[in-house]
Amino acid sequence: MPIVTALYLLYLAAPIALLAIGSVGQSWTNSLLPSGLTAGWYGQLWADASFRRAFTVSLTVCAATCAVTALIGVPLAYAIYGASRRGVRAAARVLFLLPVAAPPLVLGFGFILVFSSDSLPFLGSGWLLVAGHVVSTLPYLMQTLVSDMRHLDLVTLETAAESLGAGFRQRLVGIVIPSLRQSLSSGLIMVAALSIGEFQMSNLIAGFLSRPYPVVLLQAFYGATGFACAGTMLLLLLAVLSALASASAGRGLPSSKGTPS
Amino acid sequence: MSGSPILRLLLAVPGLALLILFFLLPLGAVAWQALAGDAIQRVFAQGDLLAALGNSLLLGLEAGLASVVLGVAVALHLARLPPGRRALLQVVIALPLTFSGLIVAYGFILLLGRAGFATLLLAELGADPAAIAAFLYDRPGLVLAYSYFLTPRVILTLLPVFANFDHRQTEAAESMGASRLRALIDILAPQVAPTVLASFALVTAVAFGAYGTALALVGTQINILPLRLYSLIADAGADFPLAAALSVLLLAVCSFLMAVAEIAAARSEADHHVRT
Repeated sequence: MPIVTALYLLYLAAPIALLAIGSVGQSWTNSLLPSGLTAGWYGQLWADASFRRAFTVSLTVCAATCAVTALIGVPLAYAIYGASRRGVRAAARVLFLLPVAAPPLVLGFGFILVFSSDSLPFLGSGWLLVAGHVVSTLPYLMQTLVSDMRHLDLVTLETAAESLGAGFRQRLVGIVIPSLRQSLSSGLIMVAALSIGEFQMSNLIAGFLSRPYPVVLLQAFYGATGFACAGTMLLLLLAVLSALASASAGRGLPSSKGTPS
Repeated sequence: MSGSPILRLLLAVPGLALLILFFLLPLGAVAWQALAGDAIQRVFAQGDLLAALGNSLLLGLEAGLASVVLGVAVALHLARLPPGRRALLQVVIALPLTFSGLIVAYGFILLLGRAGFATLLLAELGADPAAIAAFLYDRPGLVLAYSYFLTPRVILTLLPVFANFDHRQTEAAESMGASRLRALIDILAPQVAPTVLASFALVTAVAFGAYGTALALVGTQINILPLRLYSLIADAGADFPLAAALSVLLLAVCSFLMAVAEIAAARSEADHHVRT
């Protein structure tokens, strides 16, 4: 059995290692590995105006997405957690399943149909892109928050505070928000990672000047290998950083993140 | 219970409004487009679209099966590791979950493309590079690339179940003369089957509905449903009712698979409650 895990880790590492090697290799055509060492591809990436703009767009959309999901997600998660009716619980289960049950491709097409009409001509605007990222990442945050609320048994904590005379606002600021600090930060980092890497929906609904990084990156795949590797490495580094941050922020959380099960 | 029902409703309003406006409304528009005309009949009259549906189902099932087999094998091993090492490996294994499909696609082009690392290595041993590249740029290659981000989902779902499994049960069976394999099949398998089925349905649905990795790997050269839909949408002035019909087909298959996953997951939870 250990050999299966070892082979699996090799399978995970091989593409990443090749991307890393390719991004610092001078030239790589029809050879096993590239020849020459250079930082030039990263320099070119930095100098490329369209990549820089796309990167700025991605960071802006990501920040806005995190802010909106947090502002909307925490109250919604609290409402779902507090509801005792079976119907609400079932609806919440469905909400958690949505990102897989409704593929981003289909949702993006729906955006095109609704928001390119004469009455709602918003397709291509930055805020619509944010809205798309929010609805596709919200379920992941909700799942993390709701399962953490159940795990912490928030009701008991709140009932105790209430019996001591704490009002709703006091409980919210004194108990709910501080208790959720861990799951909220780890969930939001997850949201950030998904937003930065999102391609399938953005590719359909982003305007030409508000194309996020992954959409612009696809064009680079048809050019020089080193440049494409450097561009991909940037995305990879952001994903790895956020995954590690999420793992350390969420230490001790009950659920495994990113698995809508 | 904390807060009154009215307060709870007020808290949920922004989220619900957002989901209605940016989720239900777009999907409703798609369904409306698809059902208004005869687009759905046209899909079933078009042989190449039916072939795309068939290819997509095969791709989904193959990728699902590959990642479940691989995931079960790795999770079985991880479950027996000491908690510290297991937690470390878990973080490493979870990494691909947040990778954009593009990263995976370009990584595999470097590995198995026409001038890829493994391709040239195998060519030294006498394999035909063109054949290897043909493998990558067709369904087997997609299965390999999809499994890259599907297997972590399987492993992370199964790991808690395998880790909580009471190994004294199989040890007892073995002490009474059952072979190791026999014990696993008769005792472990029935207990974990619902969870395995749930994760199989989940990853099959993901593979069936995805197009990013495939687009980056093969362009629109391969006849699968999401890529056909993508070309229809990207081609301005195209047949939107037909695109809507394909969307409804995608939605139906993915929702069905997720329903299977839900029922299986609910069963495993019920089993768990009976046992504890």
